[in-house]
Amino acid sequence: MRFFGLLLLLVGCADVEPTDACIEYVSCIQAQDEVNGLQTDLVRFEAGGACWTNPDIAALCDRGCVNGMDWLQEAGENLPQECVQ
Amino acid sequence: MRRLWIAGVVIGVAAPAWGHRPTSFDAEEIVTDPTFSWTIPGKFESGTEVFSFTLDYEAPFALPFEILVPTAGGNGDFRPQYVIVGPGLPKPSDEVLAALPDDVEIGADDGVFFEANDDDDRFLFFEGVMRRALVSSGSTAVALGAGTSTIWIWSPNEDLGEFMFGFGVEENFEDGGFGGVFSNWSDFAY
Repeated sequence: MRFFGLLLLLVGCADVEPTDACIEYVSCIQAQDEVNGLQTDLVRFEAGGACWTNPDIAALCDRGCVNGMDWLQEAGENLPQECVQ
Repeated sequence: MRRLWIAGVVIGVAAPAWGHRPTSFDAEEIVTDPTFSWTIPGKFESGTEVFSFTLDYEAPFALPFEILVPTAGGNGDFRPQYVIVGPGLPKPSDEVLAALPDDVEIGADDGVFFEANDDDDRFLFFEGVMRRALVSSGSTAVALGAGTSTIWIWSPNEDLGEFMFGFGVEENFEDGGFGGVFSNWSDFAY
């Protein structure tokens, strides 16, 4: 009983780590920004961002990053190396 | 110990709760702050409607977008489409241009993100707050440029049905953010 209570407390409070897909997506957009002299607000996808406050949002963001990268690779032009790996 | 266990259950259940801030296509200003997470319900009653709204960013901003339809009423295969038109996006291909309704305006400096909503397998999830099942076009992260982007939503085959358009992840329910839900309950609860 003690174990389950502690486990639930930890699960309820735990943040989620950024997924590989979103780490790659952030890296891609930042590389594009460097080429274009821009600074895109990517805070939500980065460690500690709103995407990683619970598993539901994390799953939404992870799907978003996977699909966002697929779309960039399909529709984007002159993509930096970070976007085509 | 029993108290600790109950506290754990309460925290464990409460923590995953999350939601977009609701608004309406009828609102005077549909999205008052595009840095928050929002959801907008709509209904295709004639099938020829084209819904639109704008997002204004002072600096480039990347966020996830998706369009969802409720499965209730056997309309889970309804597939409304949308396009984001604005700065910082790739120029549309001829194929994409051919898929857009006539209402969509694309400026000389604009690019587009087009969601055809045609995946064979779409993400199905249960939305706990309103207790309904929804099918998603698939969340897609899109980096928008600084300036005004316009989102256009339509029903490609003039099919009828309800949808929810959602974007962003930063929650904000300040200033009576639930007001639109309770005054327009039937738009949000299926």
